[in-house]
Amino acid sequence: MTIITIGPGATDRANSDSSATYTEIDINNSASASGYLNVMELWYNTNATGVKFGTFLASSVNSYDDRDYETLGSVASGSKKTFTGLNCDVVVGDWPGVYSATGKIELDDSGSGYKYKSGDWFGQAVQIYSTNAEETLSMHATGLSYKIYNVAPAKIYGVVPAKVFGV
Amino acid sequence: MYANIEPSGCSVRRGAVQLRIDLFMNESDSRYLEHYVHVIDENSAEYKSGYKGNVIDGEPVDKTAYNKWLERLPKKWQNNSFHSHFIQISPDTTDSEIKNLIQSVLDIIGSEYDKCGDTIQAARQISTSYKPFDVVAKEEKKVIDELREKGSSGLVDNNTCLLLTRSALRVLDVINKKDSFRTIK
Repeated sequence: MTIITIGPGATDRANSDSSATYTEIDINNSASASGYLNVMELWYNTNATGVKFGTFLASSVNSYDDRDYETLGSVASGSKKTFTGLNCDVVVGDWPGVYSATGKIELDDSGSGYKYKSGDWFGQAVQIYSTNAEETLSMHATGLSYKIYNVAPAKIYGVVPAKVFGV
Repeated sequence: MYANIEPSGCSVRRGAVQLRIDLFMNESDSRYLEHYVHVIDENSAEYKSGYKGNVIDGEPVDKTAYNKWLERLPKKWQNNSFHSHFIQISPDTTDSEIKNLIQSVLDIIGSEYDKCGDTIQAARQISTSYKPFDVVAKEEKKVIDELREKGSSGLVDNNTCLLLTRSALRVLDVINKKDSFRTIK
């Protein structure tokens, strides 16, 4: 079992942005392996609402498509917020991204930068993003290289998932 | 310490009811001050009136001026949760079973936090009692959007539509009764 890491780190950084209502993809530290993310960490400078955190694959320099995401909800400001018990697909080389309806995420004016686009682009097709160079967003996630389940879905639900659920 | 259901993080995820459990310290707890933080008051008139400097694509052009504006804003004290944990359950899980799960999350992660241990590793040890659907959020969103708009979805069979609807209703039910799930340690 491999521990997967993605993102530059959720720390109290020197600055913050005012980019609520933007989808932002940090390009400082891509996923180290494939599997699923079960821990996500963020640090906001002001209380955030409607936060989604997920994984993106790059199809070209500025084209990104979300692979999977978690709806975290409100994220309090002023300390590192840690979310566990999650199950977000990730493939080696993916980048972490966030969206929030309100709130300012902590950032540093150094690093490889991030991609951004106005609007919530989670759950949508591939999009073209703009670049903010030399920035680092305060986000991080870790996970494991395979999933462990105890009970078959049919035992719980009594239904057979259809093809869209990939079973 | 205590645990609350946080409604903003509750949803249908991989066909299951996904609940967010926020864990808080009481003032009398030893590590209370670590998450009792002084933060910008978003309800102040100064904050609501917004930054007046030039902003391009969410980034202030003059970051020094922007940081000075942030520093001058009124502040407030806020007791943040020290950890948030998500559980995924069947819509048929009873209230009493949910309460037991929340108590277990609080006991396991809270105890580890109390002794300055590895809360993430502790969270990873909390057993998953079901197997969720192997579906990414994007695909699930397509189905749920169809259900919301048309009342049915051509992407999945009828039983799966019913399950998703039951899960969504159970999420709403738990949110409506969230105070009854408050748990203390």
